[in-house]
Order: sequence, then structure tokens, then C-alpha cells
Amino acid sequence: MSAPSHHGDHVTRHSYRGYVVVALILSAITIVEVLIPSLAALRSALGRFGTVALLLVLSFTKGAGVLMYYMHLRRDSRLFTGLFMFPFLIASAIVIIVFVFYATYTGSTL
Amino acid sequence: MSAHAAHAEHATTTGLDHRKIGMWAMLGSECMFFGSLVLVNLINKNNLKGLDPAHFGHGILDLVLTSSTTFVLLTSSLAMVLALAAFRNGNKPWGRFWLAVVMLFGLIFLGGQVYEFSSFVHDGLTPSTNLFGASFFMLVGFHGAHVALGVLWLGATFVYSFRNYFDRRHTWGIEMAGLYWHFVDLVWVAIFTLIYLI
Repeated sequence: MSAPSHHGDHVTRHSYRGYVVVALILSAITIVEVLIPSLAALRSALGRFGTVALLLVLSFTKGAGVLMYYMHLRRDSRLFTGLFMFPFLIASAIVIIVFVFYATYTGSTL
Repeated sequence: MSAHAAHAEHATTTGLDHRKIGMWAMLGSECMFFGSLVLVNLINKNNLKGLDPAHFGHGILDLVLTSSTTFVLLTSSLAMVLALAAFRNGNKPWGRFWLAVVMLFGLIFLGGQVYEFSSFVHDGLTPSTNLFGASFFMLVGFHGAHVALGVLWLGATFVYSFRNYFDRRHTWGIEMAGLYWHFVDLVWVAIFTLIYLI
């Protein structure tokens, strides 16, 4: 998979194969994600905390794959990465902090 | 209007296209928007007052349907990036084909959402039933609205592709539509994990 580039009259040809490989990886991760809560034996082996942690890691991996390869952040300017990641990190921090406070006060869990 | 005239580039202090900077800034702001809706959903996950106990917890959320629609949306993201690559390779027929595939898969996803919402209403869960219903319909409904808007945007892009608006070197319109569509997929990745799986 190559990044878009235009140098004079030469235009880089964009390969489809890399995108298909990424799609297969994302699909495989999705299948694993769906299986985790569906298999009682796996759920009890991981425990509640382990199940949630594993699902979050898989979800972040998928998100990173979409961002880096489909949205081309991997090869694009760091300014674009900053413009997206800064509010994303703020939003994630707020979600985590507020939910932890809520769970602490009410005893509720995920 | 030729593609070159339509995409006349302008000098910028960053050296980057301002339209692309604006798009990424917008996507960043959308993270805050969906983040707040996800938070409300997480907090109200167990507020199932007024619902039939048989439908508590994961009983009401159809994992088979949602997994299928998730795959549909993931595949549409692949089609979107293939469409952009095809236009950048100068292959407009294939580019238009992949754009049509993205729109079709988007409509299939929306159909799945409509079915899910109507089955929830049939089971007694509406936005006014309890806090879970209110927050769920708000989050998934807004995401669906974003998908619908994306389908319309892609439709306009598809039409413009017949008017020589895009060529090998000028594909920023498709790239912007693609960024939006991939973000919509990204949000669904988060919703699927946090609301349906966990």
C-alpha cells in the first residue's frame, strides 16, 4: 500500500492489496470480539475485568487500524494526527473519569 | 467546470490543504460529541425500569443482527478506501463502482438499525420508557443519522464523478467523503464494543 504522491508527471499507483489485508485483519478481530462474550468458558476464564480489558484493547486496535491505514494518518502530516487525537484523548479521559466517579458513588459496574 | 479549475490550490502557511485541516478538526469535535453520548449510555446501562424482566441486560440487544451490521459497515470502509485508490489510479469506472458499493452497504446498515429500533419499540423499549432507552436511542440514532448523511454525501460525490469533477490528481472531494465515512465506522466500532459487547 503506498501513500498518494504526485511528483511532476509521475503519479504513484495505489495498491488495493494492502487495504484488503487490513480489512481481513479487522474482520478477524471483530470475530474474536463477538466470540468473547458469547463463550461462557472464555468469559469465566478471563473474569469480568479481563473480558472488558480485552474487548477494549481489541476495539482500540481496530480503531487504530482504520485511522492509520484507511484514513491515511500513518503517512499524513502529524498536524492531522494532533487535530484528531487531542480531542479524542480529552473525550476518553472524561468518559473514564466520570464513569469511575459514578461507579464509586453508586456501586455500579460495566 | 474542469477538475483543475474546481480544485485550484491556494497557498497556506502550513503547506497543507485547509479543507483537510478543517475536516480533521471537525472529526475531532465529533469525538467529543459521541464521547458524551457514550458516557451517558454507560451510566444508564442498568436503568431498565419499566421493561419486561425477560429482556433485561443482553437479552434485549440482538448480538447476531448487530454483528452482521458491523461487518457490513467494516466492509463499506474497505469499499470506500478502494474507491479513493481507484480514482487516484485514474480508474473512474471502478471508483464509481466502489462508491456505489459503499452507499449500498450504508443503506443495508441503516435498514438493520431501523429493524432493531422497531423491534425494541415492539418489545416495549422506547426513548421515553427509561433512561437506558433514552440514551440508547439518542446515541445509536445520532450515529444512524450520521450514516444517512454520509450516504447522501456519497451520492452527491457519485454524481459529481460523472461531471469530470475528479481526476487522478484531484480527488480531495472523495478523500473528504472518505474521511467522514471512516469516522462513522470508527464510532460504530466504539459503540459496538462499549454498548453491545461489554
